[in-house]
Amino acid sequence: MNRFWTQRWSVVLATLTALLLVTSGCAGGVRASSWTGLTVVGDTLYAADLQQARVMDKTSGDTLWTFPRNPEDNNQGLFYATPAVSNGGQVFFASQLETGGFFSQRQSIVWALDEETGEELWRFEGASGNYVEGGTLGNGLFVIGNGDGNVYALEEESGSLQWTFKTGHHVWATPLVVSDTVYVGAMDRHLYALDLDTGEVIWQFERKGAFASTPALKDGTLYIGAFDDVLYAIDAETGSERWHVEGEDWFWGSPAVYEDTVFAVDVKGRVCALNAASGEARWHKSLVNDQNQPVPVRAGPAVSQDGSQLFVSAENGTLYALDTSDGLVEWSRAAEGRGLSEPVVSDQLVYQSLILSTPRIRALQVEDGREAWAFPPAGEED
Amino acid sequence: MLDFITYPFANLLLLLYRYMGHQTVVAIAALTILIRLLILPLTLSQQRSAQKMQELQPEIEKLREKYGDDQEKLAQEQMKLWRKAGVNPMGGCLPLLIQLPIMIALYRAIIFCVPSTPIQLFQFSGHIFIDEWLPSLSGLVPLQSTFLGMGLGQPPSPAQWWSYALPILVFATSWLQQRLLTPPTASGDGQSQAEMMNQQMQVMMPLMFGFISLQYATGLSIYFIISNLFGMAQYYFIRMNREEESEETLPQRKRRPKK
Repeated sequence: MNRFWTQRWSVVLATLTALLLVTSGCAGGVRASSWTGLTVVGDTLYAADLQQARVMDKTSGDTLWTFPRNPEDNNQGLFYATPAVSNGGQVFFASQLETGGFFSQRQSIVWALDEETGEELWRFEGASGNYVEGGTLGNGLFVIGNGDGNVYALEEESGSLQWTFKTGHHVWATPLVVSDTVYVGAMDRHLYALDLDTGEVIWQFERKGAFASTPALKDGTLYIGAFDDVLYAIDAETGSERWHVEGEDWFWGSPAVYEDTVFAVDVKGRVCALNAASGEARWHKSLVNDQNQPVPVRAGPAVSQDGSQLFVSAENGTLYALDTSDGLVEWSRAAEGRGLSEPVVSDQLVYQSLILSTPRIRALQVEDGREAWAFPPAGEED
Repeated sequence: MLDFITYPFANLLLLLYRYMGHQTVVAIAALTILIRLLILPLTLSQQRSAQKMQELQPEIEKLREKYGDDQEKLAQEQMKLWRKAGVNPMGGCLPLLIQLPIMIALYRAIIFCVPSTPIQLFQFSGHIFIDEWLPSLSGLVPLQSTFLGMGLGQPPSPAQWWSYALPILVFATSWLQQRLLTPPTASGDGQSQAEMMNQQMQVMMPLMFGFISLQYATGLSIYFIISNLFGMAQYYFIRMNREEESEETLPQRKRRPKK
């Protein structure tokens, strides 16, 4: 065979094969495309745990049930969105299943499961994008945003679709439901207030950056950060701005409010405590690693139940406990993997969800950061 | 991987988006044209190499007739001929190799700016350095992600059946470009190995690009299509220039014998 053409043909094939391999990531195992959320209600921890929805005893870390029981035989996709628990004995998860091949299609599913047994009660498959943060319950409805740009309101008992609201981009944030109003941030740079019964717009608040988080509500004021590096305080009734404060980078995580202080952290790892009424700064603290480099933070902070500590989960897996009065770091606990989800505090434990690591969930003592339990335990794959 | 080109591309895409009416497809098209202009010296050398190879085909056919049975000798003589003519037989492959990291970086830049998952967006969050000069730019992320109802950060899907038009367009434009740029062999009877290989390449290459477009974000298809159209325009531009040059030089050549 003509050597020139053989060589040239080989180079072309090698080039294209390399392109396919490199762009596909060519990695085995579960490839996380989002982060996994946790919820604690009573004595139970509900966790989106990638291939399974997992329900655990919050004190011991023992698994009570999982759905599906065996993901190898019954693959229901990957669970990322933070679970929600109703008073009526239901727990809501969401998953997405990718079918491979040239005509691949994403299947996004909201699951209503029996809180005691994990049996499926109903499912909703009407959305076409990713479920990222999770849904909220209110007035018998389960409201959730989706990457397809819609907000879906489903009847809690049956899963029937009550209304949808179309935004101009992804909806990755968990909606906030307060009495008859749904507040939801969208990547189309709007925060919407919707009528809970009908999904009609009550007001909308537009700025120059995407709203990727859930607003925090306190005394009629919503607090939310955006990708224009600004944290806003907004009148919950009218949607008018009360004050704003500029950060150093995007605000992605939800702010936390305790009494008259708003705590927020931008993706550059700069934590701030602000006067809730005026936005005036009380303190700032930039989180840094051992090399004194800023530590990126995706998730919002969580305040301990007595209000004395602020917990921040950093992208590098480290969980920080800060003193809420001055921002000084009381303790920090490193971990492998990435800590992109909001930590959850319940009683004397703070729970952190991690991706790309073992363990994927850990519980630390709020007092000193000692590990109470971890799942799966270090060195043990489930 | 390739972060040193990916992040500048992603920042450039943001800048183009900002100044091109907030139209993601227009920004991708503009970035593609910029990249093609950047690698123009390489693609020109590829075309020149192809042109020289075309001119040498009659000589190669003669060698093939002479040494047809002795492949070793044929290869040696071909190499001698190419060396004498100053042709690097692999010269045409270099631009393709250079384009590989560019394609990967552009693909990743599109995924960062038009993310379909939050992890992709978070990865980009610390690398918007253009924000130092134009603070409003980072707020533009994520860019408008739909074009004619298709998600630019996602591969074609049955839910948007019309999105499969893009891989077809990628195939069609790649095929046309390949047909224009691959020099015909001298024998013209379709029987020689070189000609058979040429014909295979003219179909296989576009097919592979079509398959890549089926698997990856539709934004990458926009790059392929614009890039192919640019390649074709470049071919016609060069051919036009060569024809003009030929017309100018022809009378001079005719005059020479009179001297």
